[in-house]
Amino acid sequence: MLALAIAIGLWAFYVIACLCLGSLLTRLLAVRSDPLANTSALAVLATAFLLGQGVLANLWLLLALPGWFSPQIVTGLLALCVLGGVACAWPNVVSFARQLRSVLSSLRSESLPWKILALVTVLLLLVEGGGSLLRPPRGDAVAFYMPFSKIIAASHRLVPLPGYEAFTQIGLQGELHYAALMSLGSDRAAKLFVWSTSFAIAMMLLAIGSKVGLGRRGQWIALTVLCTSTAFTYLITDGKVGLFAAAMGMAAFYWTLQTGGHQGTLALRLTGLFTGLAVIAKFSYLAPLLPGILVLVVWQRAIPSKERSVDDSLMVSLATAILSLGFWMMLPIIPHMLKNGVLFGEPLAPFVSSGGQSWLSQTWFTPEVTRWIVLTYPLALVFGQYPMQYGTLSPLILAFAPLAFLLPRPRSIAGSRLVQITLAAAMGVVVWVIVRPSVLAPRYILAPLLMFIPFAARSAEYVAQMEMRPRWLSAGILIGAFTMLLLTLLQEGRYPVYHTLRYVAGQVSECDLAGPSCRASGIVNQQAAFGDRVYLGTYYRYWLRPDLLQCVSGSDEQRAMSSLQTPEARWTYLYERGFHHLIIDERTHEATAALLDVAQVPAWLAVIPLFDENEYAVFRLESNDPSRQPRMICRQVNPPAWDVVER
Amino acid sequence: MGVDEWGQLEDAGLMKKLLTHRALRPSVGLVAKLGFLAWMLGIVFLAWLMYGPGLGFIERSLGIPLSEWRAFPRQFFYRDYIF
Repeated sequence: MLALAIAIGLWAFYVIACLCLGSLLTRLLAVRSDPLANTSALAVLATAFLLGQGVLANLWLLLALPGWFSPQIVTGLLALCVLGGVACAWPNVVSFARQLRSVLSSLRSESLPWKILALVTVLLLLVEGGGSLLRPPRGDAVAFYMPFSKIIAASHRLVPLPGYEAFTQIGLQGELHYAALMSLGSDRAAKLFVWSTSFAIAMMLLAIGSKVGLGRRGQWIALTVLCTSTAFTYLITDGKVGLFAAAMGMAAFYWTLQTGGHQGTLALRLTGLFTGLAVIAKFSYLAPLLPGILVLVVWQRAIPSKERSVDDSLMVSLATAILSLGFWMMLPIIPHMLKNGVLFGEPLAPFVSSGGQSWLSQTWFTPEVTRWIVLTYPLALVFGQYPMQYGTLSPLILAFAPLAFLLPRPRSIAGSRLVQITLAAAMGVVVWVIVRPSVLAPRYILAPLLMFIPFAARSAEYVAQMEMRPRWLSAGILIGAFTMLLLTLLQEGRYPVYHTLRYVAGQVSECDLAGPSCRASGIVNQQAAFGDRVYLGTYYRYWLRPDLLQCVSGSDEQRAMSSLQTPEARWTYLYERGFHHLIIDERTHEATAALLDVAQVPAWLAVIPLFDENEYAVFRLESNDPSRQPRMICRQVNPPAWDVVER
Repeated sequence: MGVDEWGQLEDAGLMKKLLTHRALRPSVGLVAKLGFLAWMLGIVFLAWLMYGPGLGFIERSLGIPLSEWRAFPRQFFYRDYIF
């Protein structure tokens, strides 16, 4: 329980630091003619939080590259953020609290079913928070994102993750927040930070909704649609970093809508910054986000508003806007280029890289299946159960979308922000389908996908407000919303509530919840001495000790081992490279298991089985011949980091 | 003055049009409403069929073979990957 309290305390400190830094930066970015006074408190607070976290991630990156990522420096900088920005953040928090009171008071005037809908939606978000804090990380988070952060926190530096060296060329953002919170002492706080980012997404969605015409009821519907999208909820609790990009993308969309008004300059700067941050947080956003943002910027300038008229200088205005957007977008990308320049000597990696772009140019399905998937859009996004899809959009989007036929025709289609944002989203999805038709993964393009929600929510809201008796459609909207909330609660809530209570009561350990990879790592952690190395025939490594994590097998070693002709030669190679332990997941690394035949071990080497569960095995390697010793060892050459060196 | 459902500044004239919009008047006919309702509930039913628990209970109670029904949409939206 103490660990949970510490986690929540550290998380709150970190969130406040992001908020304070972001508030300060937003104040600095807003030139005198662009006050934030007319922006909704919801949007201001979410903007400050996201800008703060985006800038902090880049700061952590610049600190980790030379090896200065120590807990003292992280704590000191966070304290500095709080002290420097608290005066700017406080008015934002007060305005937000005032707006929240107004939302609650307007909720009182709603009928009982709508009140219950709002409460259940909030309950679902809280359950996700519990899951985020208490549920062990899963999948890719255990393979790359969280172990990478664990190593950065433990070693105070950023180096390619052994076994995933090429993949370390990705843009880093969520990983660095994880690392900062782990550096402060809590892995759980790191995971909980995703939850606060999911809140920022929800706030941005509501702010965009308000901008495009959603009333309070419509905003509750939008929130329900968001929370019943498993492409969103799965990412809150599993430790993956997809929501960081989605949050930045949402903020970019929000500020793009402001670029035509009196806040144009500030809005352009923020749009550029958030677009750059989204692309760095997940490269896949480049294709679906950038075209939509550009179109919206042009649209905002080209359509005359009450505040501005179109004149001969339109082209000049557009060119200036796009140049400014490009400049601010590049700022968050520069630290990433610096990272890849320092670590790989290739600043433009992974797009221009000597190692190729194999992991960027992914093909998941055969041409026939790809054609089938493309033909079934948008159903595939809502009902798809394809491998690696990992979550879907809420069926409520599809259910409510036809209600748009009941909306009155806008005075000007081109001037309608709802039309603009929906078309920008559609354009993003179309571009994605063109460039990556075989990759059906809502998490890769989540921000543009979530931009369909205001359209569905506004349609449902209009019908729910205007329908006359018999109010069948209103009843249908509520039945649909409650059914989807119930399904999501049962799907997402069962695990955290039941297992978390058992965990908090001390009936189960973290490894009981996390599965065999955690138990296998636990055994290695107990038995391995400092300086030992672990050969990994598994994707999952998060639960290994930090010193062991830093010296696990690299890609070169895995290739070298595979290229040897006999099992005896492979075992010899492993032992000489200093591997005293071997973890093999036979379900995913069948080929490795076949190469390392335990029946064909050199006479001088003992391979002792330590663990075997669900095809997950751990072996210890011991030399029977004192003259045969490893040539390599894991040593603290530059403490606290561990490196593989000659013995 | 707020914004209307299309994100534009609203005025009294537009609101009047909204309030008297034909499609939502009972005279449009119950058939149209039933069509929209059937679509909404159909989508939600399909979602429940694919993701929802509790099918066994309903199967036993009503004697409807829902688990056979759910196999079809699942097959429709699933294909294996190539690697």
